[in-house]
Amino acid sequence: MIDEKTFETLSRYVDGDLGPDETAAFEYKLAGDDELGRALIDLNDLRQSLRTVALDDHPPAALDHMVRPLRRAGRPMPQRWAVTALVGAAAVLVVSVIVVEEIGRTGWTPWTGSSWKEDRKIFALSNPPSRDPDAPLGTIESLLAQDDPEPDLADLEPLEVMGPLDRPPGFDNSDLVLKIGTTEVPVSVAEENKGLRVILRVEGGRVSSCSPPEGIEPTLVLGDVCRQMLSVEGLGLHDGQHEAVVVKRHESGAPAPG
Amino acid sequence: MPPYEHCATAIPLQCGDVLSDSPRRAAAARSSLAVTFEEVYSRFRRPVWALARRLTRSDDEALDACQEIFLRIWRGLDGFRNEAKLSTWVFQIAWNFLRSYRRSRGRQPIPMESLKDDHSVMIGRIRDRAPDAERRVIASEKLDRVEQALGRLAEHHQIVLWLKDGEDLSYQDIATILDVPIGTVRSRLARARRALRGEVGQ
Repeated sequence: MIDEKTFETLSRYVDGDLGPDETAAFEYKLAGDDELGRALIDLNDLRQSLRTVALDDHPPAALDHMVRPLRRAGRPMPQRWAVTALVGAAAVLVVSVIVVEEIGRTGWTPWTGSSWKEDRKIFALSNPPSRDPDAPLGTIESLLAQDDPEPDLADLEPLEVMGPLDRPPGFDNSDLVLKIGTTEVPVSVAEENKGLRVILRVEGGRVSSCSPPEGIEPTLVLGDVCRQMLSVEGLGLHDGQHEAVVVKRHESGAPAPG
Repeated sequence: MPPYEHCATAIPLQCGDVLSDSPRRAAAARSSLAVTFEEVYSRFRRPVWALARRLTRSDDEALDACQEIFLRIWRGLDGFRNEAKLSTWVFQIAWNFLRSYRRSRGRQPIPMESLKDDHSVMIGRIRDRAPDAERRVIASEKLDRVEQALGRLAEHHQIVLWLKDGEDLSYQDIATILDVPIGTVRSRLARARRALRGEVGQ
């Protein structure tokens, strides 16, 4: 009968967990103990059997199907966004990306000044106004296809996203860009003007054209915090890999804000 | 080159942070770029499934469990910062869920026949690979016997055996996953192997 201590040493031996001295001593003991030798053979046999069973146990295709929405959704929104966002989803096959800004608002009422309103889902971003000069100014993170993991080409569904845009003091007209995927679109800012609208045509997940071509104008910013409303329609945004984010850009020669 | 051109499209928000010149944010962004859910799923779909199947003893329940486990992984991926090994992190999530899942079922005795059909499938695969008929039958019966014996062991013995011998994890990784000292892993594994040897021999 192999005692517990010896069996533990045997178990560690088959895993290569013994030091050189311990290994030498155990192998010496092993050479003179038939029962221990049989136990060694059995243990190696059992390990091999378990490994074979494990490697042969492939999940059914049903699991791939069940997990598919997660695979298509890409990265999840951070928890703080997920909790506070009104909806976390939508995305869809459409032909263009349209961005509209309405300025001078202080509240969070959904924007209703567009003729596309009836077809839209409305999302409120919870990005709080930030005083960190290095923080992104506003983001759109709701371009995930959670509601419709398998959008149909015929199922065109414009998506509207609202979010606050923090405007730190000291930035000028060239400080902002709207970034969708790897494409940047300058955002012009002009005081006492109203309305921002840009139409981006997206092909294969990339913005292929932008209207107006010279950027966005005019845009209104009032006060320190600009509550920006963005409407987005897009093709290729459904894969969860393309997000729009408004970021600061430091122009060459221009002093960085803050 | 536009300032964000270097950023992968997956995480533009973090890319924005990189440009903020904040070392803390930059480091976080870099680490969060390291792994995607697709990579995690591709690498761990089999191990997670196999573990769930061992501990639920039912294909239907294993499917449900896997879906929940991968949902938790998906949700948690944003917070994964490479401080732990990916495999350890994934198995920790799986084990924590499966343990509570089993407890929620009140430790009901699980019929050993529940995996019978799938054993047949597995054995069929083995038969296809083995060199001759007699050895194929012996091999398949032996694997069947070992898996049945594994199912009769205590839960804490099953998990340590499966992680070590089934998935070939290190003692340290197993200790982290089960949240026990490494010495406990060594002794528990030895007892589990001894118990399994006894069960198979009966």
